[in-house]
Amino acid sequence: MAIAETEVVPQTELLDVHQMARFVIDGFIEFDDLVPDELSEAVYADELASVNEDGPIPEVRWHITDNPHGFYERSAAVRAVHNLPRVKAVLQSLLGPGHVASHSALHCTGPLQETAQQWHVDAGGRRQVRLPGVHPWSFDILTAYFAHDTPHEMGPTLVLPGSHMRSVLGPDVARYKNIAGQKRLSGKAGRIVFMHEALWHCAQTNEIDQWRFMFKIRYNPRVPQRGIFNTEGWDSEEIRRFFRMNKNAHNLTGESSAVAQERADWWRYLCGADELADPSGTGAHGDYA
Amino acid sequence: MSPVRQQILILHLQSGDLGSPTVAWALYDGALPANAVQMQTGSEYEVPYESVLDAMRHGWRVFQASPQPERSAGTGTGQLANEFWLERNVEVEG
Repeated sequence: MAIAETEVVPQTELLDVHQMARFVIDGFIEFDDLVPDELSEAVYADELASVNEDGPIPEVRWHITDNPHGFYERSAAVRAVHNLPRVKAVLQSLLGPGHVASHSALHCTGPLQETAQQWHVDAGGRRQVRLPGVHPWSFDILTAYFAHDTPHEMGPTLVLPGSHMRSVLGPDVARYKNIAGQKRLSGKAGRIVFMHEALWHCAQTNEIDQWRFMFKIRYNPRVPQRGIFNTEGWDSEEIRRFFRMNKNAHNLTGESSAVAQERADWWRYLCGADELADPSGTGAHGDYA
Repeated sequence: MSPVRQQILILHLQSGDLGSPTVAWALYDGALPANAVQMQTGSEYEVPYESVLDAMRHGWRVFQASPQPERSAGTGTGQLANEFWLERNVEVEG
């Protein structure tokens, strides 16, 4: 069952250019204040009721065909979280109206779990390796919602900011273990993170004697992802300065020049502007690079 | 004589200079028993060695380096570049 989103959020409630520019640089955007505490507490209660001494109960164990939305269908509270107007506004800003939830899963990590997941990219990987016919700037969104406090030592999802600009397939990055700039999505209960599908990530060890839960939904767009957020000021001097200041953000092994130009092209696409001609071939005509 | 096992250290550097800063690292330890926990993702936030040269000064031997990255427009960016494999042998209890 796909969960289609058909309502259209007013533009004033959508992400602004500062938030979207941050997403372009980092590959994710996180919020601590979208979900009321009582709703997170209700979701946490449903999560605790979804595990026993054997692990997750069968009703919430994810299966691509037989159980693609187990916990979502079981928990009215988690459905309410993802139908909050402010959550829907973020989703519409990134995916456009009519986006579809392809699948969801409750990730359960047991107390004192000593092993972590390997670095990976969820199915599909970077856009260049996707199927012919898929637009090069099309991307899915993965949401990661934490209904309870997740301090660093509890091991919430580890992400590598900026890695969404790299072309790799799912498990190709499993050789790596620790990378400069890696960041655990630690935070208070109610945190929700919206990630580009190509962002490198992995579940972490859990040093605390409690279950750790993360609820994920993968959303697919159904429209071209351009001009779908609040684009006012997209070409302002402030935004140009922001991109110039972040030209070397997340540069690890010398990629920054290529990435900055690619980000500039993506930014213009996102904002509904035409690509700039670059007769010099230097890649310096984007102004954002 | 105690048996010897290999440890592999993979370092990624900011540039192709072996003295440039480490930006990623992974240790695969052949001296650990099968039921021991190897280095995990996200387990460390401080580099073990500042560079490949620094690791060499601590007894590691470089035995493989990645080719220089090909930065043509068609390839874009993907895996981390400037990858160096180092090894050392350690004695284990027989």
